[in-house]
Amino acid sequence: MMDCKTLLQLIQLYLDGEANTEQTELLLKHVNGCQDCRCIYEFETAFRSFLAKKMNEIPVSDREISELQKKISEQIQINES
Amino acid sequence: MEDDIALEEDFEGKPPLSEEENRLRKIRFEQEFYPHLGSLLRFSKTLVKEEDIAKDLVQETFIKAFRFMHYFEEGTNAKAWLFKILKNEFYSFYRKKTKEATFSGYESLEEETGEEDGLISQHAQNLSTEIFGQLIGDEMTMAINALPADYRMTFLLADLEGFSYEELAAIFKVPIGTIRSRLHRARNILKKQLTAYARGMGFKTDEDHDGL
Ligand SMILES: [Zn+2]
Repeated sequence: MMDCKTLLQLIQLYLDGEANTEQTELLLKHVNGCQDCRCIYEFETAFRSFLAKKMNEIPVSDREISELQKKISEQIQINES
Repeated sequence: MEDDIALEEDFEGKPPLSEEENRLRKIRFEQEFYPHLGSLLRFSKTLVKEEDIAKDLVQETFIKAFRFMHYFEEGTNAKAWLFKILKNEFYSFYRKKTKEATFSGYESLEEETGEEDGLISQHAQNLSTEIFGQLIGDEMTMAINALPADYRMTFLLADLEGFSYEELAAIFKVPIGTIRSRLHRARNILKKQLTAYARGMGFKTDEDHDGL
């Protein structure tokens, strides 16, 4: 069984989408058998989704995007002439 | 920025594009780059509070992307390329603004090893996840803004845009290990900050009971 300290790093790797199949298997196996690491794993997962949710609340409207796109196209046009 | 200078030098001596080539370039630009405008704008807004400046940085990014488009290899990651330019725009904006050597100053942090990180992680996981739900976006924004700029950008690009370690290493021109360590540290700082906020708001965290 892998030690818990290694697992902490593996959790980050896994949540970053960087763990390979073997590492993923090791992680899930450990988490299933170790209460402490399961808590950490659950916490880290919740923390990530909390951050993602909050960050996606930053407003960017379609109108804003199309206005900026128009401005850029105009500026490119001006630069060219 | 160095990148720009390198690009400018390469650019010299190239024959100007024909009208037809130029027309095709514009079409490609619109098809490949404009779809990422929203992502870049959101990212820029998280980095810079002033909306106008956030938009200016994105505008400048796209104008540069158009100008240097012949260096963009077709079939490679257009989004990563755009973010690389935006990152440089942000750096030069920030340098102009502060003139402090804030960026390089923090790099030394990355050489430190993870002993303390483990502690923070253990400490933070005591905070129950429900408490995070009670925190509002402002605290989170404040905590993110308090991160050193390199950490903040790396973190946001990873979590907001889902770039891989490899892509991030290319964007920042640093080794993958540096990316990993930045992300790790950024998250630990955030966890620590948000734990402190939650405490300040009077939420009890598990840690409060540790001494009993
Ligand atoms: Zn364990």
